[in-house]
Amino acid sequence: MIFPTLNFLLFYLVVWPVAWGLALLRQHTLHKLAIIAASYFFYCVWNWKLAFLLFASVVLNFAAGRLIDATRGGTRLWTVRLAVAANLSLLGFFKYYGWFVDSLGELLRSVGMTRELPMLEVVLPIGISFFTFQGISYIVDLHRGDLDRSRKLIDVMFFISFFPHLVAGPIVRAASFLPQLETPPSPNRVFVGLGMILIVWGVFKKAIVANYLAVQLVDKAFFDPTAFGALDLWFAVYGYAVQIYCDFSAYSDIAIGVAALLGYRFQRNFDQPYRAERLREFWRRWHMSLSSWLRDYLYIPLGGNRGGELRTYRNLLLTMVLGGIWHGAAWKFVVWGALHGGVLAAERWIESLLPKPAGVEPFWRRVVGVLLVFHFVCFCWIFFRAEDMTRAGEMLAGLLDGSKHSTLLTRFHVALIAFGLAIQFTPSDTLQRADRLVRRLSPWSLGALAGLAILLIEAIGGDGAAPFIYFQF
Amino acid sequence: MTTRDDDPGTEDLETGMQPSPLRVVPKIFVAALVPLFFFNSLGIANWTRSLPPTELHAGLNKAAVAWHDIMLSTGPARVFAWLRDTIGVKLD
Repeated sequence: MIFPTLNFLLFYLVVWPVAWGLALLRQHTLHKLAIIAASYFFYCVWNWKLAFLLFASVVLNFAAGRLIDATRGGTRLWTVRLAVAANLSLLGFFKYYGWFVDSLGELLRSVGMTRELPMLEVVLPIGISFFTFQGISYIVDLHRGDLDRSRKLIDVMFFISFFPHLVAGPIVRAASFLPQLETPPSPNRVFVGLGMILIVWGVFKKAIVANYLAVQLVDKAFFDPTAFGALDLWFAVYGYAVQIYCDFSAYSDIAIGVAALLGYRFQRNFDQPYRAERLREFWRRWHMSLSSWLRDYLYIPLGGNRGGELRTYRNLLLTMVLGGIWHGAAWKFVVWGALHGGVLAAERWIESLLPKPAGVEPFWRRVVGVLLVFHFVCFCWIFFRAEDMTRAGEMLAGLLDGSKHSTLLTRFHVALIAFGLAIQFTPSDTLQRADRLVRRLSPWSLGALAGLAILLIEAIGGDGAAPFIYFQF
Repeated sequence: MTTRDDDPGTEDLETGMQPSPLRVVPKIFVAALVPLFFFNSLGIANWTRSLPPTELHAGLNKAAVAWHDIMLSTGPARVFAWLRDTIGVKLD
């Protein structure tokens, strides 16, 4: 079940009144059980057998949480380590087993050894990367004391399985989400404006911008880069940068909006990433729930920037390579992560050599910074999007080959790309301004406006919606 | 990668926004769904057609098609079809 579909709308129209009805009747436990049941239904629509895996992940983290609470000193530390290792093993087996066996087989063949390696058909459970990271967040937050105590099974189930974030994030932190389950959501504090704006805006970004760029430009160019001219390929790369932003941020927006209307709060996941002037800043704005997760649960435990410059560079590189592998079991993601990690380290090194600028940087330097970061990110997206490294090589070669004419690019594509980039530079309080406007409307007018907006999007975009890119991770 | 001082990802989107009482939400839902129900009756009919073949779903489909016929004859579905032809962009 994916968000901008009639299936999801009907599902939500059942879940919303039931959940709020129970909350208003002060049946908090039943309210949570209803949302958990809905979340498992949401997951089972895709594959009911793998819902047992989701449940196993919940039970594992719940039991580890209880043990962490009950133990002290070395035993507690070992419980944390084992629980994190168990979570990672689950992720490792389902996500990386095939890749590991393939890579090992290739390595053995390259040194002249042929071995029959045990090959299993492992289905990749949707959302496993997200719910595993949330499980780890529960364990580590508990261990660090960011979370005061372990929680009941029902709360751990709710936290890990809550349907808005279940399959593609945002990666919700235990320490910020679990306290919300202490009391029923308040009927006097529903962020309706935020929810409605994010849902409509998300549907627009996904159904119009991301879908059209994907189908008409990006997919064709990346399928066979040798068939198109350099101009087509340049714009396909820019198009992919806009597509992945509009696709993934749309999912996050809809997830945040859907949760907000149920009375729950998620953290922001995107903040106009392509306006970043430094790569470090890009990572403060892109997939923020992942980058902050990697920072808090990987980069800092590795030593962060506490062990001198060289260790900091190593930690940056390692964190980003692992962040790359988190996206998928393929060498292209390793390259993508290593490029980002390498340039983050280089950027830090260069900044340490230069004198700190006094006051605000001149405008031209900021523009150059934005252009450099954007083009570097686009360069890395080529590896991320290409089918494999060979195709990425063809894409790179094609970008420099001026011998072919453009046959793919249209004004409509250019307009979509320009729009996707323009929205990166709107004032940072645009959402608040929109909320103030929306609050002037009566509920009936707001609803009618939202309905008409969805109708217009549907008229432009047509039926159906392609799966979100981040479903595969 | 960032340092703790940068503190990314912890900012709540609700900052600077006003919450509303729950009672406004059902009104918003109803007002949002009515245009879809009337104008995009074809979408509903298509959706019921895509459901697995059961007696219940066949009944739903029959009702949705009948509703779409009414919307065609009274106008809203024709308005939406015209809108689609006018501003829709073909995915190929």
